[in-house]
Amino acid sequence: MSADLLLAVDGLEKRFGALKATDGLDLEVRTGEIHALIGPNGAGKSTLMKQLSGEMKPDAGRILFRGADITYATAPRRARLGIARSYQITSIFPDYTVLENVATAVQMRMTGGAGILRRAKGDADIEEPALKLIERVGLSGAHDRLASALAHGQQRQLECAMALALEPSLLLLDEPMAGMGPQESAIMVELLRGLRGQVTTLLVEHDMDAVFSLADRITVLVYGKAIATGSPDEIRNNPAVREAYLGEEADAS
Amino acid sequence: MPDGFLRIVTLALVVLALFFPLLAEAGGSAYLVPSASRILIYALAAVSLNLLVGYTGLVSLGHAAYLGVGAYVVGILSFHAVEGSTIFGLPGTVEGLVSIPLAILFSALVALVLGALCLRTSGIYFIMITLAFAQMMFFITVSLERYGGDDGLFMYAGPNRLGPLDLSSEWTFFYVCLAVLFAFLLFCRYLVGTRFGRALGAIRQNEARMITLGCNVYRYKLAIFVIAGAGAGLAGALLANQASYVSPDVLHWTRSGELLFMVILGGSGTLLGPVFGAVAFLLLEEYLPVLFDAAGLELLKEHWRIVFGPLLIIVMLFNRRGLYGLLAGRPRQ
Repeated sequence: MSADLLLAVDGLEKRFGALKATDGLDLEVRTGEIHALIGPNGAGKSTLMKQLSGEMKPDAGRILFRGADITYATAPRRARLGIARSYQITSIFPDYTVLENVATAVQMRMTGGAGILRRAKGDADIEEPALKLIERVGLSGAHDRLASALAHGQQRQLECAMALALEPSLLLLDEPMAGMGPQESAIMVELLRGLRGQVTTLLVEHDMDAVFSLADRITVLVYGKAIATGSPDEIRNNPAVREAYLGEEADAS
Repeated sequence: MPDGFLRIVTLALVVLALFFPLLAEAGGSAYLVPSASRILIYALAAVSLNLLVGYTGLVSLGHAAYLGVGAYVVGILSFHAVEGSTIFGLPGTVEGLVSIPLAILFSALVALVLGALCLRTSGIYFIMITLAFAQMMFFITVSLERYGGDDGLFMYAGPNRLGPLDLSSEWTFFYVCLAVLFAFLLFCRYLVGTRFGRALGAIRQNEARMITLGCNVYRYKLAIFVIAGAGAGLAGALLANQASYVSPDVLHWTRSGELLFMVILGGSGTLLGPVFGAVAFLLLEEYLPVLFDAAGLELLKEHWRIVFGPLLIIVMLFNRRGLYGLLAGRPRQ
């Protein structure tokens, strides 16, 4: 197994009754890359993400993270190993301010025992890194606002900051641009571009413009199987992919 | 910190509490002091329950169990002291400095065991299983024949001593309760302000997110469950001293319901809400019948709960943060 391989999925299977949502799936994510996962609805993208984050257990196959088998590691364990995820449906702490949201994530990375009884508000140890992250995702100035009062796009940015707060070595982003307007999408694309080379990212996204401009490599998922992996150009020109997924739309572009 | 109207009410309550025995005596109503102590004790229990319900989002319908454990520890120790017998090879005691910490310890232990089991579930199942275990504790006390079983246990030695303090003095006892409640409120304020408290609030708002942030939510919940149980145990220990009597009544499931009512009525998830809730709940319970009697409404005097129930519902309908919310006005931002 090559040294720059961060995540390897090997023959992964997940069945829901007769439906094979993940069907002998193989996937390799290299350190530092933005790896996009595309596929039509029902291809099993979210199911795969859940198995990678530990929220769902596969029926067969293996998941290797840095060469270690994490197939059956719990979600908190994986988070501590350095796998963070954001959600297709916004998942934040609505009654907390932006700063409190991110500081909570920071503290989850840091807190081991003793620090837990320190006063959270005004604690520079967690608030300084949190403020940096808030700036990084483009939410400076909004740190005092309640998360529930943010616009949808801002909540997605906040979610990104929370995932980054774990200082993950692998970031799982499940449709970060879902429900965003063009302007918000553009901000998010810039944000993700800025992460290239710093955080290895596995990105599930329906916005093809974003995917093809961001991704170093793309894997196409159809019916729970990876039918192709390659650079954006390779994927664009792969006949099997065109047939299965991109269809007429790709011909036109 | 509370502001505006809320601050005035809070300040008024604090002043009233500080001088209550004096005022009651001056007004010729010294008999009210023990009742006031009882309110303070229930406020303490409600504040401890609020740590679960309000701050962590764990609706426990079995909190009276820990109140009961605390009360029974004090009662049983007093029983053995009077009888001159031993329990687990140790003599009984009427010294509060021993019995009250033991009451806290035992209720914390019971909370640790029951919590470890209950917290495997969530939502409606959590409510039901806390209720079930509390019922189990209730029937255990009923079956304690030696300690009075159904009839309860009289503490013939009267209330405990507390070091140099004599808790049989109504005034002393009142101020002890007030001090304990105040100290516990300060403790809760500190606790919810820590990283631990921040994490609890996050669990309440979005448990799934906390898990994927790497939080072992089970441990956090168990920790606060034990702390809340210990707080209720402390209240129970005081309750036993207040009445010099403990009975399975303290653990009855309706008691758990009342505590929950106090929390929600007062405003769950706020520091002082449960105190307001306990005061309002117990005063209404006491004085609604009296009020209807004075107004000559015989039927309502008899069936005062017909008014009591809707009144509670109305407060909660108008403001989800209960009395605290009504007094404080708009929530932050």
